[in-house]
Amino acid sequence: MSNNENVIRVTHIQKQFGRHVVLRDVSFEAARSEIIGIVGENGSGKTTLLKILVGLLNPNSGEIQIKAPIAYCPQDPVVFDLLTIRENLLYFGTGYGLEKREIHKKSKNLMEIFNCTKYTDYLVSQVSEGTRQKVNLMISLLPPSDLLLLDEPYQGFDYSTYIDFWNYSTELRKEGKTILVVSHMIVKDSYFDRIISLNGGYSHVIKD
Amino acid sequence: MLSKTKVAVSIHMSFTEMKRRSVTFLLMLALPLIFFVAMYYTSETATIPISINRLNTKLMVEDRLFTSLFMAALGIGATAAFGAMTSVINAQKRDQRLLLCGFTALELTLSRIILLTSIMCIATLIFTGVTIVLFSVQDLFEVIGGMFLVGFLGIAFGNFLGTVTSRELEASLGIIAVVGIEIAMGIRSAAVEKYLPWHFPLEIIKIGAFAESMFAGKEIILALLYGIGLFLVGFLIWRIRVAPKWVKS
Repeated sequence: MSNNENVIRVTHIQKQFGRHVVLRDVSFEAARSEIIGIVGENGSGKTTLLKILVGLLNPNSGEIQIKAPIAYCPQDPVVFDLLTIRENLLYFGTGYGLEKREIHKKSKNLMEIFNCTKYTDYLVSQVSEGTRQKVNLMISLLPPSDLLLLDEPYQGFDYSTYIDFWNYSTELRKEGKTILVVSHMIVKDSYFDRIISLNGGYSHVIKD
Repeated sequence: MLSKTKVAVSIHMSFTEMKRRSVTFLLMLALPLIFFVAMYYTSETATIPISINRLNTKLMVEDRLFTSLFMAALGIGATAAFGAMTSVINAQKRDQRLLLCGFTALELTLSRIILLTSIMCIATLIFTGVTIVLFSVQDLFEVIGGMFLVGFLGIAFGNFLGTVTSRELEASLGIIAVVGIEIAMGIRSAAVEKYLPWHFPLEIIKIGAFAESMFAGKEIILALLYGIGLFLVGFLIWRIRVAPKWVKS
């Protein structure tokens, strides 16, 4: 795949729940090695859009083309509270088809990056909300996916972990990964190659 | 395609989680026994008439034995149904994420069934030990088989309810309603009872405990078919509700 070939192309997506139209006409595309931000107010349809992209919701109309294996990080942590961080990573990693040794190696690396090695054998129910969110994010960073769809990935992070997240994302971009980050607030737009805003159900490019 | 590693890891993790809910785990094992002991020490030794569907005549049996077995069986069934129902409803988002990660619906369902069935087997075995000490029944293996099938049907029913409603209260009321009707109608073998999930296993227990030289083969097959049918319908609904909607190119 060449660097400027689109990894994902979304065309005229429309989604409504009953009479409530959330997305009216959303279109965008992302190429290899791009970090795209999707911003919008609460209720603007950012999470709905991501759920459509991963297949958790059906669009009412429109077309989606995805040409790479994806990994998804949901907005609210979806983890097993009564399993340890290590067990959670092993469970989800097995789902991705990774070998046990590979999972341990990758987990160790991610836990060092996100500074939570000391909690490896803590139950998720015993750690702080921020660490829970780190587990949520680390699960989606386990597989060697080329397209990462991250829904509010750094909410609840302290500033230093927020910076760690962006340093790691920049590394991933250099490796050729495409990252879609949904956020209600963007502090520093230089992290993004492009920013798309969702407003009134329509998408607008606000940084290109 | 079914991955044995994925099924094994899923069972292991679900069991690890369950172990950490030690009170729930112990209650699942002990509830049928508590039902049985409570009925054994509060019911009478007088004989009462009971009906077995396949027999035209009524059998006279000891009230204490019949009521204790009946309530213990419902204890196993209700515990299994609640266990399965809560494990389906509470895990919906996590199941969705596991599916997105690469588990298949079949792998997740299979691991849930294997784990719950194993726990129900242990509950049945504990209960069987007590039965052997306290009573003599016509055919112990049929009684054990009936008890096991009550658990199996309970899991199938709980799993089904967990898939058709995503609210725990509604599903709980569904289980309570069926157990209530079963208690009210089952002892009298009312016609409506034969459509309920635990009818066939209860018939097997009655035949095994009280009917001489009679084999409950037909009831065993019907109970298995009922359970498999409930699992299949539940699986299809669950797949539609939880699994990702479309396959990406």
